[in-house]
This record gives sequence, structure tokens and C-alpha cells, in this order.
Amino acid sequence: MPRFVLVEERLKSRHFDQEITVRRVCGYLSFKLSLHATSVRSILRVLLLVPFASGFGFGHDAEAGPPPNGQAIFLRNCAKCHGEKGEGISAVVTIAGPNLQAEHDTGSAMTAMETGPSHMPSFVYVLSVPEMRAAADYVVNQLAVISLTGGDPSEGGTLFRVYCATCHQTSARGGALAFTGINAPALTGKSAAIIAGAVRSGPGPMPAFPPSILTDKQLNSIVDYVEVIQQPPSPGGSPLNWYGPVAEGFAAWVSVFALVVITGWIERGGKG
Amino acid sequence: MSGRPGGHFAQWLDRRLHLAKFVKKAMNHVFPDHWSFMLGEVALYSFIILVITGTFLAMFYNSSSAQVTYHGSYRALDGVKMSAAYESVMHLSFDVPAGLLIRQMHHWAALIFIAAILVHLARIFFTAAYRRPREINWLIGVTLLLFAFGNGFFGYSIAGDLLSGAGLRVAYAILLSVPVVGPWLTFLFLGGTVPASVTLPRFYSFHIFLVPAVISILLAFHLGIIWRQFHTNYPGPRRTDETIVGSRLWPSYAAKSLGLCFFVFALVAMLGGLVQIDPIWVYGPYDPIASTPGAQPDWYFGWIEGAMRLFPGINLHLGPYLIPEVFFPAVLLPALVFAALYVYPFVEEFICFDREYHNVLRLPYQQPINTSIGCGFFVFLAVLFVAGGDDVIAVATGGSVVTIRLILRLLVFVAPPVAAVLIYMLCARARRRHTASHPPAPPEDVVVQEETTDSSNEEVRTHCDWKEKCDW
Repeated sequence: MPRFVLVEERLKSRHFDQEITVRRVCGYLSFKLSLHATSVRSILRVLLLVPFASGFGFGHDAEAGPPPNGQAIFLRNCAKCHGEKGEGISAVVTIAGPNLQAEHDTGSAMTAMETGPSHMPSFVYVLSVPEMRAAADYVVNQLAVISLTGGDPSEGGTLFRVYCATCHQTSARGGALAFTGINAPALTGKSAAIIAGAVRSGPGPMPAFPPSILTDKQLNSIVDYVEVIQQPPSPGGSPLNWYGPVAEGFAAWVSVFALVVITGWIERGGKG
Repeated sequence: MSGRPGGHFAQWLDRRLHLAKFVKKAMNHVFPDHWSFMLGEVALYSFIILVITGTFLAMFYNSSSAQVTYHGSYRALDGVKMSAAYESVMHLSFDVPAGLLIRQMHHWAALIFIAAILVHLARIFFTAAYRRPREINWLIGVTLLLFAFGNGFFGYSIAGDLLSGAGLRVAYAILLSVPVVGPWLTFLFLGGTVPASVTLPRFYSFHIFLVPAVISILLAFHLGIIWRQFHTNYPGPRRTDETIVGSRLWPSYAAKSLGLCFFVFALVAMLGGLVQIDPIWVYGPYDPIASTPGAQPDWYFGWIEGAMRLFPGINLHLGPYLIPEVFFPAVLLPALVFAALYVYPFVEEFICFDREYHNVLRLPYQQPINTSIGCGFFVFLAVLFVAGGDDVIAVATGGSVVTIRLILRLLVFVAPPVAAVLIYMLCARARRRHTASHPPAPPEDVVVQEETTDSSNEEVRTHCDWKEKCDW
């Protein structure tokens, strides 16, 4: 069943409450469009929805009644992409969600639901804040089975260079994979939870590394090392965006052209 | 008694060595005034920086491949097993005061050294300065370029990081691809399968003894020959194949050259201090089972790397022998390129029946065929060079490396002839316009002026007659 049908039923069952009608409709439209084009979604979000969102605080939306059921909300809204146990869906298609089993932070789970990072849609107009919190609590308390403690970054570095750098580059800035035309993404700006989940579930063309290949301790070491290499020390000055010898060669040629210009300047007697 | 400072010392020296006559001649040696005559000096000063910084680095470098455990300042490698060579470079980079600065200056100077040699070579080529009587210096210059390439590779390889190891593996594959003698070549240069325990010590002694010595000797010949032959002149008033117009070595040219020297030192020091190069701690120690995308050689091998990426997977079977695909782009292509550079002056001389001595340069538009051949060749190498970084371009632009490679495979055939024809047309048009605006003047009488002992800064001309003897 396509996702938007779920939303449609939800909207009908609420009888279009006067106070939230406008926001619900806008949210529904944006949600439906978001399934088609990320660009359309982002434009609409900026042009149309931000004024409404700022006009109606979430606080008004608090509903009386029994506390929302996190599991039910997760299964209805999240499991389609993230899997029923939050194990993630690994497929070379656009609707594929990362593994959530290393997510130990309710706040970042709620942030993801609000902002909709990457291909994920925003759930601001679909779920109320208590509903989001319930879903996030469910993820953190029931699904997060991967512990993120006890890693050793230098051991992780050795493992990273063997298992991960082959595609993601030693500097974790991503790499182009020959013959496929696919680019392995950069790991900068990715949270520890996302990285650990990706290692376990193997999103898209990436292979999965189950505990039989990488133990929990090794996984945590890799995650620790990735956090180091996301912001590696550059005591030598500007790292040239970590592009490596290509950028260095470019800089060398710029310098040589500067020296050519300087020879001309010297020849003119330092004038002009 | 001379009233000048140092006069006593100069006289003391002159009584023992009889230098005055030579120094007087040398100080009055005439250099033509044009910025492009100083491009080779950029390479010369880069080489001096390389020797100075390299001496510092050699005090701390250890070429052993023995396995040690790292416990230095860089915490993310703490307790990791690595070669003693890599450990010594890590120690140099993180724990030796100014070690990283000097190492980065050394690496930047190496990149600038070879780039400056190429710019210098392009100036020689596009102004036809390689013609008789300067063929020997052309040959020495191309040989210098070859040795600079080699030493760049040795230096890149001895750091012991993942990129060095990847480079060594590629070099191993390239040497092995040479038919019949490949295995012996790998044994001779690399000591067998890389990284053998003798590879780094061998490379290190090549890098700091053999190749720099050869470069120094060739450089001495290069400079000695240009001193004896004098520089060429750009076409201009009173400039003929028998005269040279310019300013004297002392003080005018010495001041210019020293100023350029300071600029080169300043720029390399600035790059070494402000722009990071070869962060080996990010690449990590060499591990035979690890690899990384974005593993490029230093820029001067980019064209060979690109040729290997663009070349299709064709293995040639000749009887019992196999010629693998790597051989064509990585052995045959560079061999042909350098062979073409070596024979070019002689081929031109042969084709044009040109047995004359040339002291006046040809401007690029005055020799459209040379210029278009050179530009086509340059564009060909430039496409290969871009192909060497195609994966980095794909990541930076979010494009597909397969598409980029396809485009470059087309461009490598299409772009060079298009560029050559375009440049030929531009040159021919410039030549037509020049002849239209400058009708050929009647030959003027050239007054050959003997050089004077006046060491002022004014323009002077020197007689230099190739047909007789060139006395200094």
C-alpha cells in the first residue's frame, strides 16, 4: 500500500478539525509531492509551508487522550522504509531507509522526523509532537540493540582502511567506484548511529557487515575512528578539501603560474 | 690598493688563483632581457630548496621496513603496527620541531621543480631555441626531466604510507608488464614482489645519492653550455644570429635572478606552512590488503595514470609471449613521448635541411607547424592528465566516473587534432597580419660592437660568432 493512502485515511478520520485544517492540507500536499521530487518538496517547504508552520506552534496541537502508541506509529509511518525492527532496507531504489538499531538519542530521532534529511520526507504535518516523541522513544528503547560504547579508534583505523576505505577513501570523503559509475558517499556529517546502522545493514550497493564479520567492539572502533577522520587534524595547513594529490598538483601549477607572472614583474623592473 | 670593501681579500685571492680576468669576463657576460629566460631558474632554485630541505629530512628518515608499534603524538594511530620507515616520517611530521614544515616544503618544491622544468621546456619548444647549436642542451634538459620524474617517484614511494604502497604496486605491475625482461626488471629495481624488504632502502639511496648526483652533474653541464653558447635572443632591432643584446650579469642580471630566487623560496615556504600536502596520517601505514579510491600519483605522473585508466583491456599474445594491457599506456606511451622529445631537433633539422646556426628565436606564430604540433601534443597529454583524476572529478561533481571516462576516451582522439588545426589557423592569420603591417625592410648593416669593460646597467651587445670560436 502506498504511503500516502495511510495519510489520507488519517486525515479523513480526524474530520478536519477547524484548528488544524489548513496545516493538515498543506502537510498532505507536501507529503504527497515529496514522494515525487525532492526539489519540489524543498521549494514548497520554503515558499508555502514555513509561514504556516511558524504561525501555528506545536503547543496548540497537544491533544488530550491516551498517550500515543509508539510502536503503532512506527509501524504505520517508519517501518515501510526502515524495516519493522528498524533494521533498515537495503535495496538500490530510492525508498530505502537506513538501519536505526544504533539510534540512542531521542532528540536526533525527532529531528530527523521533523526535518526529513536526505530522501526522507518531513513528518511535521503528519505527526504531532507527542506522536513523534512516542515513535522516537520506541526506536531508542525497543529497537536500538547496537551498543555504541567501548571502541578503540586506532584499531578502528586499521579496520576502516581494510573494510571501508576501499570505497569511502581513507579520508572518508567518498570515492568513485570504477565500472559501476556509483559514487560511495562521504561519511562527513553522518552521525555515529547512521554509520553503525549502515555497517550492519549495508544500504544500497554497500555490502552488509553482520556480527560474524565485524564484532560489536570492532564496529564501535570503526565508528570511533570515523568520528576522528570526519574532522582529521590538519597541522600542515589547509587540507585542500582532502582531495589529495589532484588538488596538490593544481595548487603547484597555480604557484608556478604565479612565479611566471613574477618573472615578468621582475623583468619590468618591479613596475606594473 | 682598492678602496672597496673586501678589496684586500680579493687581491689576496687573485694573487693565488688569478681570478681577476675570469671574474671580469663573467661579470660582463651578457644576458638577454626577457622574462621567459628566467623560467629555467625557477626550476634551478626549486632544486636548491630540494637539496637543502632533503638534507634535513634525511637526518630523521629511516628506510627500514621492519615492523614497529607506533606510540607518537598522533593518537588515532597509537598502538598500530607499521614499517619503521612510516614511523620515522610520522615522528618527523608530529614530533620533530619544524619537521612537517620542512617535509611539506620538500614536497611542494618537488611539484614546482617539475612544473617549472615543463614550463621552461615549453618556452624552448615554442620559440625553437633547441635548434643548432643548442641541441646538446635540449638533450640534457630532457634527460634532466626524466631524472626529475624518477626521483619524484622515489620520494613519493619511500614515505611508507598507503598511497606510497599503492604507487609501488602500480610500478611493480608496470615493470612486470615489459615483455620478456619484466620479472628481471622488477628484481633489479624493486627487489622482487613489493614491498620487499630491500625496496625502500634501495629507493632511498637512489633518491638521495644517485639521482641527485646525476641531476647536479647534468645541471652543471646544462648551465656551462648555456654560458658558453650565450642565450638566444628574441627577434628585435639589432639582433642577429651573430650578436646578443641584453644586460650584464653584474649587477643587473644577478639582481634579477637573486630576486627571483627569493620569490621561489618565499612561495615554497608559504605553501609548506599554509597548505597541507601528503597527509600520511590520514592515508595510514601501508597495508597490503587495504586500498583507497582517490589514490593519485603526484601530478607529473597524472598523464601515465590517465592513459592507464583510458586504455581498454587488450592483452596481446605474440607466440608464447603475453603483452599485457598495462604495457601500452604505461611503458610504450612514455617511451614514445620521451623518444619524440629527444629526436625532435634532429628531425626538424633533417626535414628542413637546416644546417645554419640560430641565435634569434622564432616566435610561435612564425612557425605555425611547430606550434600546432606542440599544442596538439600538449592537449593530448592534458586530456590524459585530466583522466588521471577522473574519480576525484566524479566525487567532486557528483557525476558518474563511467560517463566521464567515456567522454575523455572520445576527447583523447578528437581534441588534439582539433587544437592543432585551430592553432595552425590562428598562427597563419597572425603571420599574414604581421607581414601585411610590416613589409620586409631592406637588410640593415649590422655593426658588431666588441664588448666593453663598462659594467653599467645599460643595454649592451656582445659579439658571439659561432663560426669562429667562443672565447670566455
